[in-house]
Amino acid sequence: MSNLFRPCAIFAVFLSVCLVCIALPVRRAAAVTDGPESASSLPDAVLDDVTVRPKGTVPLSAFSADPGPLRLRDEAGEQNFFIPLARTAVLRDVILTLRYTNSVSLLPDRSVLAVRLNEATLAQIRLDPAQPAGEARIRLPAEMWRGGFNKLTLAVIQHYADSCEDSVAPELWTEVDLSQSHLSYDLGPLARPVALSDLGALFSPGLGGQRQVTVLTPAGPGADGLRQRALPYVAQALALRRQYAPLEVLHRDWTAAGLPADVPGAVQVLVGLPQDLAAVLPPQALPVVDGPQATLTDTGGGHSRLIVTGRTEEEVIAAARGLTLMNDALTPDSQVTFPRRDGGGGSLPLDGRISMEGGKSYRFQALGFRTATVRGKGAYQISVPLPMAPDYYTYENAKVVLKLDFSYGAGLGAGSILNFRINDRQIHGHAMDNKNGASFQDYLITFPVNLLKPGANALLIDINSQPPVSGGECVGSRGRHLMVQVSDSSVITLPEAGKAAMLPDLARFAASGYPYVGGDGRGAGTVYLGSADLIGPALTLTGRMAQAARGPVDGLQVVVGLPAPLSGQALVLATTAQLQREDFGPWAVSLSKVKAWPYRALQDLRTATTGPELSLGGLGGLLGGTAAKPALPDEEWMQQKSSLGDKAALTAFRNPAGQGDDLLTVVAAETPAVLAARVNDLIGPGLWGQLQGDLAVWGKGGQDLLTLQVSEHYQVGRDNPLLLLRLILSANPWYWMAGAAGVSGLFTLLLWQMIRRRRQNFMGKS
Amino acid sequence: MTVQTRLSAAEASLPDASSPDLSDGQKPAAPSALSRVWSWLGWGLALPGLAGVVLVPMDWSGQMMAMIAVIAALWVLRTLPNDEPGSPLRLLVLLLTAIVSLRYIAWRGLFTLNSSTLISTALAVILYLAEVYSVVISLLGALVNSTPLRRPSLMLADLPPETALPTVDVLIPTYNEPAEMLEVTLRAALQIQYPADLLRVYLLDDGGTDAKIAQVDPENAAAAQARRTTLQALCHRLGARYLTRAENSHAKAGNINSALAHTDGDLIVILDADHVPTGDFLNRTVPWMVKRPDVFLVQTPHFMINPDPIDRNLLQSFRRMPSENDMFYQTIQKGLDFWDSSFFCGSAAVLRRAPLMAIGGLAGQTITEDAETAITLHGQGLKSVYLDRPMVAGLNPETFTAFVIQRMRWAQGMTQILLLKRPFMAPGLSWFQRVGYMSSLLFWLFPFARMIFIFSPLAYLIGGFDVYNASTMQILAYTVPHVLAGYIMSDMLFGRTRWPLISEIYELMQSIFSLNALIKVVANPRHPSFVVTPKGDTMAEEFISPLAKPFYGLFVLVGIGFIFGGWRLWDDPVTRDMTMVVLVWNTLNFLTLTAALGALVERRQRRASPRMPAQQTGTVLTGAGVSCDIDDLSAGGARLLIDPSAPQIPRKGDLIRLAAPAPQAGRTVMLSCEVCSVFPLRRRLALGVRFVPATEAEANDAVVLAFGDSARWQFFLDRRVRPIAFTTALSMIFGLIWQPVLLHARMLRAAIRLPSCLQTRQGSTHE
Repeated sequence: MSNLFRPCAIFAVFLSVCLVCIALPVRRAAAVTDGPESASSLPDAVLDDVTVRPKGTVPLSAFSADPGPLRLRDEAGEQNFFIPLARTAVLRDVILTLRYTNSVSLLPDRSVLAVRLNEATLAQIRLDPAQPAGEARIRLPAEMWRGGFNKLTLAVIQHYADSCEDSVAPELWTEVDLSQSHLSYDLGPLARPVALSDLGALFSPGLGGQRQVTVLTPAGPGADGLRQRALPYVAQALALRRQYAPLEVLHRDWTAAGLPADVPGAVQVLVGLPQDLAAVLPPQALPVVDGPQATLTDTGGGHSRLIVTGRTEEEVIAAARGLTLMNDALTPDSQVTFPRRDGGGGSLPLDGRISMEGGKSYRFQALGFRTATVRGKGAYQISVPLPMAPDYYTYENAKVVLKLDFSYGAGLGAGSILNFRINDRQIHGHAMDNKNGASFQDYLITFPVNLLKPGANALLIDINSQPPVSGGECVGSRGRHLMVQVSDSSVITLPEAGKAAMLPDLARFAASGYPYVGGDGRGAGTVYLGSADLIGPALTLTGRMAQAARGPVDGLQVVVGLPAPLSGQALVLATTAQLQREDFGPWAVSLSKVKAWPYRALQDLRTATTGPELSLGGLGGLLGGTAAKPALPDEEWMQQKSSLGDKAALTAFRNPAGQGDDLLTVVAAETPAVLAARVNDLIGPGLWGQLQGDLAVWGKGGQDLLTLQVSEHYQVGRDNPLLLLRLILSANPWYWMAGAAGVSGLFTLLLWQMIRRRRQNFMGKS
Repeated sequence: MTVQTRLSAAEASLPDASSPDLSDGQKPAAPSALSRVWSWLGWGLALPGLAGVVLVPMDWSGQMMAMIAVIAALWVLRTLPNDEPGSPLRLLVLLLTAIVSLRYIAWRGLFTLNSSTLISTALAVILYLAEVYSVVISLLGALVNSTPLRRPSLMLADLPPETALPTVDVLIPTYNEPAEMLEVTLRAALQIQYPADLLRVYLLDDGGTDAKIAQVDPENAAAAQARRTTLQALCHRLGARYLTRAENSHAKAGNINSALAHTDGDLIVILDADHVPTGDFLNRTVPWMVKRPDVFLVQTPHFMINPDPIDRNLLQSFRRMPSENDMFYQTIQKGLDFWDSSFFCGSAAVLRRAPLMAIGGLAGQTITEDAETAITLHGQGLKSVYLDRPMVAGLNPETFTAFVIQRMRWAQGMTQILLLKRPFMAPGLSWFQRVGYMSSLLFWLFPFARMIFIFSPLAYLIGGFDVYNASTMQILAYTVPHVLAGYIMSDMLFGRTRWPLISEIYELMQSIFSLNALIKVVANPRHPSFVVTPKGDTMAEEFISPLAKPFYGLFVLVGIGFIFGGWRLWDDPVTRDMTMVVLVWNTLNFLTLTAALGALVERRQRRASPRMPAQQTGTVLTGAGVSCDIDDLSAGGARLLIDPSAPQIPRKGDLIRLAAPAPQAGRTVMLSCEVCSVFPLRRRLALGVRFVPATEAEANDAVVLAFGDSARWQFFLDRRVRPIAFTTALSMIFGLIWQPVLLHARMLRAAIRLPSCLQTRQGSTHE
């Protein structure tokens, strides 16, 4: 049986991957996106509903990039929605409720709205001009759903005349209100035992995936090493399986009395040594430990338990690290051991974390893109991922060269075009005006490199295929013959570049985890916590950073306690009471009891403070006058003793106690509970994608987000001193001005002396 | 305040020979060794520092911040007093502007030449080279003109009493100029205040050579014979000496060299046929030759008493605006003089015979023998002196055709010198003389750059070649500051003598024709031949210059550029920003071209001898005598303003006598005049009178009165040489550019109705 199961499982995984790959680049313009780069299109609140509750309702707008209503035009129009479903999810029932409005010009007998699931037509709704607005409920049979992405199609066939009809007449339209149309689902428990191959499915970003997980460690200082080093790996491993969707990580300690009873979430993760586990698990549940090991078991009632253990603390850490790399599809067992290689501490492989480097060429294939073909008339979009290193920096005039291989078939009509965009900036257009079709090899497009930002980018190819209009309105073409293909043999070439970046920059942090995540995947820094009850939020944040970095971050540690001073590259989570004024830079926002705010920020925060005692802070009063020039004039800074209320704040600045280019990032709230809730809000794509500047303050549910740049920028870089110099001067043109003034002064003096001497010479001769 | 008083005041403010600073023979102390070490150390720091400041890269945002600060600083600095030549403030402004421009050029060269196709790259490089040329010219100009030298006034009376004055030969070469013109020049030359036994005036006639008289065409031969006879008689009558030669070889230089063999004066004064000297010409120039034996040349300005055709046809502000050559004679030559590289301009100069003879007379390898000769003599360690006082009044070419002929000759000649004499490596020249000459010579290559600046936007708009690879923000951060810095630099150096935007019109109008001439001379540097500039023409009717066709072509082409630009704006949203920028560029070209069209309508000019404004008094001797103001004056007549209530007002046709003081001559002259017109003017009564001299002495007095006083020319120059704001210049240009369109439309309409109205004229071209 096992002989049969293994190839079947591999084939199923392979099939899923293929489907995902095919679905990922080719999708209709309004379809839900399926890659991490498009995560921002999925509202966080909706994912909550999708993934946590066994029963729930999701509006269709959750799967659409366009927030407005869906308008289906012309004689035949359709829209696809790609709905992810965890492979471990057991659907009992799914009902689609559609609210629509159709044109009153339609012929009722010839106009229908069809609903298809994975290409099977499940319903046809008659579009009746006598009842132009309607609501329909369609059951989408559970057995037709499959793990991974499911394609839900809304298609209209609509006519206003029996013959001689203009297929693109304006009367031909039907509108679906996506915010009022929804999917109602009912999930049941998995009927079979889970295996480690289900781990990815358990934390799938789709329906049935877990948005929350509780990590448990033994109580006491003996487990500090595990908490410090193993838990970040665990959090990252699970968050990476969530792909682009957020994962809230909770942390609890167990005691000799047993595991906590009120652990939320369907999956709990136990991290500890065998002897610690033995204290809380029945003997039959204890794995036989022969090295770094991970075990996934059912605990009944649809709950699962992941045990990460090893014979020593180092082996437990190695097991956690192994989880970040493990290929679920190739691990069909419930238990896996990671034999340690000699040395064992080598850096993690990049694991698909491709970041394009300067001066190199990449085939689209190497970037994860597969040849995409679109057929039929209408608007389509092809997305090519262009991942950039977080510290990619080059001259602003440098050009990226695209050599595209694409073709289009014969019979395209007027209005058929290709538009090429980089992150929504139009860079090129091409009219597909050869009626016999055309094929292009190395079609050259150049665009400024500064259109690419750190982290994820996308080349968006908008395709509009239209059939030719010929022979009058009665001889229309349905355009089924139309075809456009973009090949994965296309090549992108980046200009030579160095590694340099301007900090602090929360946008760069959100896009890549930089600087806590280096371009090589190594962690560069430590997460410090004000108290142990902040381990959960810290792990949540760590997981989000791994998602941003598109791979595990090796070596990131979570340390409980705030050393004084907070040296090095540090990320701090603490309550305001745990922070000291001295921890903050002289010209940075202070989140300690005595807060320092830029005046602008204060205006937005005033309502959240309790009993503020405002005083205008001066430069000398704040710091004793040591430091660098402020970004804001001193009179624009306020000191106050106040709370943050239910808000949290995230600020980054050059670490005053650090050396060189170290960055200190602080996330603070009034209480650990509020901090945990706000971090949970923060990792949602709605908020995470809006981070910018060096100060962010937000409230419950991500409301009232305020972002500002308040402290001085500084530059970090390596490899190319000239580029670093360019970056430094660009951010601090005053340096250049000082140099220019000095050189001009010296030159003036020398010239003046020379001229004076010559003039004296003249006078003498005269 | 009278002219004389003003002049006296002006002269009083100048340092003079008796100033303690100018004591003879006192050489300044040489810099000490320590001072030299410090100086070398300073240069050793400053040059790499300058390279760093120019080359260090910045993103556009940082660059923009830096440039805003620098331009703001320049704006403030330029408002501070900086007229003192060589003052630290002036040098600082020039340096900062140079840094801005060099940064621009470095950025263009390093980051903006990566166009998408080979042709685009080639065009981008060509445009870049034109920009490099412009910046090099600006920087050379800045260095040359950083310290314009104003020589102190030195008179014969300042020389020790026992000083033996040199003999002077005044040589007036002529080819085809009319006898009337030559008579005025000869009379003025003979009236120069200098011991009569030491002064000889020669007319060097190349129109009556033996070869001309012996030519095959009997009509031309007879004309040449008649000319010789006439001029011989004229010289005899006036007391001058007539010289001619066997053949017309080597044009003007050959003519003068031929005369040098027949004369023996210690000093040579060369005057063009239309260049009328003032009485004090030798009084102010010879002392420099006497005091400075190492000086081979004393050059003075060419003061033009009529507007050039662009000024007359378009600007019409001869009396209010500095003329085109004011920039050269009032600023550049003074700058060159500081660096020992002011050069001979062919006329209005005193040359020392000995060094001239030592090199075989005037050089004749190029068609600008004057500058070529100066380079040769500078290379022998001799010095030149430039005196900034107008003491020779000449004529500008009257027609645009003649103007172009003149400028093509200059452009070709200077390029010949650049190619044949190679001053950048010529032996004997100091580094600053090389800089000075390179500045003067390279300037004449401007047609290449100007045409590239015209065609580059068209290459983008019409051809779609991306010749300028930069974003809008980069243009704002790099290009705009460079343009502003260029304006500030130009305003500081030439603000008084060249108004903004005027150069663009002049250069554009010459470029079309000079470019072809330059290409020819580059292809064959020894090919060009001397072409005499036609002067003294009169025009009875307005007409469109026969050289207008290329401008029409360019005008249409630039207009087509707008059409393509509009299409690109609509069709290609990706390049919309760049298209907008290029359209602005094309618009500036269009405005300049439109203004140029105005200069192509040749305005009517009736007087061959233009009248210059005068501000002096006189007396009309009719019975009791009526005092009058002389409003304008020429050798042939004057306009007198009298009180309408005066008794015995002359009537048209009356013969009167005019008594007027001639300050330079130190006496009052009496002239017989015929009243040609009487009309009210500015609440006075204007009498248009024509001089009808009864005697030779009276004819001499007319010339003395009209041309004898250099203070009058100086006053005229001082009045019009002044700076104006850029916005004023812009509004002036905007006010002018509409006229050409109307004028051309009117004249073309007239031409269609009556083809003969569309006269064409050709300038006199003679080998």
